[in-house]
Amino acid sequence: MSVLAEMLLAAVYAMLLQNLIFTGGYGTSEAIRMSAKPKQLYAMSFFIMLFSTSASVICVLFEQIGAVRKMGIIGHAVLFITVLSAVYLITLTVLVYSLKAKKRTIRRLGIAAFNTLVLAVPFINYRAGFSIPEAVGSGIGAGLAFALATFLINLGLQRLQKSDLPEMFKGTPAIFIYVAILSLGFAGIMGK
Amino acid sequence: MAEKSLSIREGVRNSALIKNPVLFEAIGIAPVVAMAVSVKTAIMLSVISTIEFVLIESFTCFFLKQLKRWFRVLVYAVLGVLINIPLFLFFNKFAPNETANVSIFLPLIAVNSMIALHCERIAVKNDYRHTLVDAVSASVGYVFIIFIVGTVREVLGSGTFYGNSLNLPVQLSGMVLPFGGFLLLGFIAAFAKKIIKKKYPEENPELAFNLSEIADKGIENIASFVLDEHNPFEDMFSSGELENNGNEPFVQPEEAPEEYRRAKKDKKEKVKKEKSPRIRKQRMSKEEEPLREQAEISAEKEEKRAPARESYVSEFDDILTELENVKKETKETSDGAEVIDEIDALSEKYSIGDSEPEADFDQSGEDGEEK
Repeated sequence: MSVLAEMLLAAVYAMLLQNLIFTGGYGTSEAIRMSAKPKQLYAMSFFIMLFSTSASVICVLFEQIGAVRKMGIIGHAVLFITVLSAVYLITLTVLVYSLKAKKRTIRRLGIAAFNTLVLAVPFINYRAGFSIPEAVGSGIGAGLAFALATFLINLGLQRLQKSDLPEMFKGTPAIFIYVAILSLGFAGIMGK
Repeated sequence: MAEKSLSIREGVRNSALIKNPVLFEAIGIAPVVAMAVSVKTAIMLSVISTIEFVLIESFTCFFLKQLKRWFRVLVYAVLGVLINIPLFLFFNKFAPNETANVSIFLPLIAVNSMIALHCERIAVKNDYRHTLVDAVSASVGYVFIIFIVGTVREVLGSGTFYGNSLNLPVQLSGMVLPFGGFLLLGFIAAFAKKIIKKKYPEENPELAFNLSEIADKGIENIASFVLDEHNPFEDMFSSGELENNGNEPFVQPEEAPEEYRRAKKDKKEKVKKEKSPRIRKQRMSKEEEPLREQAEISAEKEEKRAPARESYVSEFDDILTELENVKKETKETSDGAEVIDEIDALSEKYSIGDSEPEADFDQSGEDGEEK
């Protein structure tokens, strides 16, 4: 029961309280660009969740080894990118050979795997000293945080497009300011 | 071919201003908003980004053109981390405090979306000269933004410049948070757009970020829950009542704003769809309920009426016996014969005597009481 509670707590924390996109700025480019073309939002969020969770858990398992724990930030960076690459290749193999995935999905897979959000999750776990359930929770939370952020930005974009903005603020300037307001809101939840 | 003869100057103009990847394409934002909080971190970020751009794009142009795209993406990330190692060690030696502050972000630059995008757009499709021009110009554009954001955030957020206090009366500490970075990017983008419109009116930076598919479905079903406007006039329209004190004009349904009518119609359709068979069944049982209640009430009444009915019957029997006695007494007198005849006639007329009163009550049912 406590394992489940730890996992849920970490997921809620990563998704709502410390939304990694708004309060950390991780994966913002992907979220903004995805919100402009939200057709594959669910698939993208799922893959981000998959990569962040699996990389997060494997990296925490590696942390149990004494030699790995002693490594510095660069050593950890190499470990994390190696793990992420391995997870990416395995997922790709499964998708291509077993599930006969579409080309479009495969193209998106690279973006879902190699972005600042997915790579930040193992770093956060490493710094916070998360356990395995917490690592699972933070991985799931990262995927949900991405979906939530994309959804919120998409709602804003739809309204911004219809609204009567000054010419110079139309497009990305308005998007950035809108994201800034959302980011301020999430920072307010954390009480920073 | 015209594109191939792109000069560094044109490339820089395009990347730094007209097609700035951060400002107008929303690429590579994470390091800018998360890391560029001071001039020192901006320098570190700029150096790492520039070296990574040039080296990875060059490597891609020379060696990765033949590989599949899905594998190239992996190589960019691994190369980025490998290039980061000596740079990290270098900065750690000369600026250990700043490096420690941004330690988590430095490896993240390796997966900067801008690197992958430029490699895929330019490096795999063009010769080395063109790739190099793109790498340098993209770096200049990126560095330009990083420096502006880093400097402004340090001055406003920390009240310092390159670590030296400026003794400013006001300090906006929120500027060092990501929201400050986003806000600043928004205003810089707006300012850059104004300059472009003024200096290069033929250019349109908005085209760099395609917004034509934002309402492309998939997300719409969820969005409709949030985007449905509350219609404050709906209840008034449906009930036909509107409290009007005479100061405001009465708004007729047909005169109502189009959006309210549309919202009302949408809501009605939504409600109609949501009516499940279970709800319909419940509604039907609600309609049958009054009938069932009525039947129960009548049964109760019947029960209450039963003793009263018995008393009526006994009373009626008493009257009949009394009448019989009167008949016998009058028969004994001579002038009572006419009276007896009248009584018999009346008995026949109202069916008294041989008829059974209880049967009358039974057949009458509900209306029996009234009869």
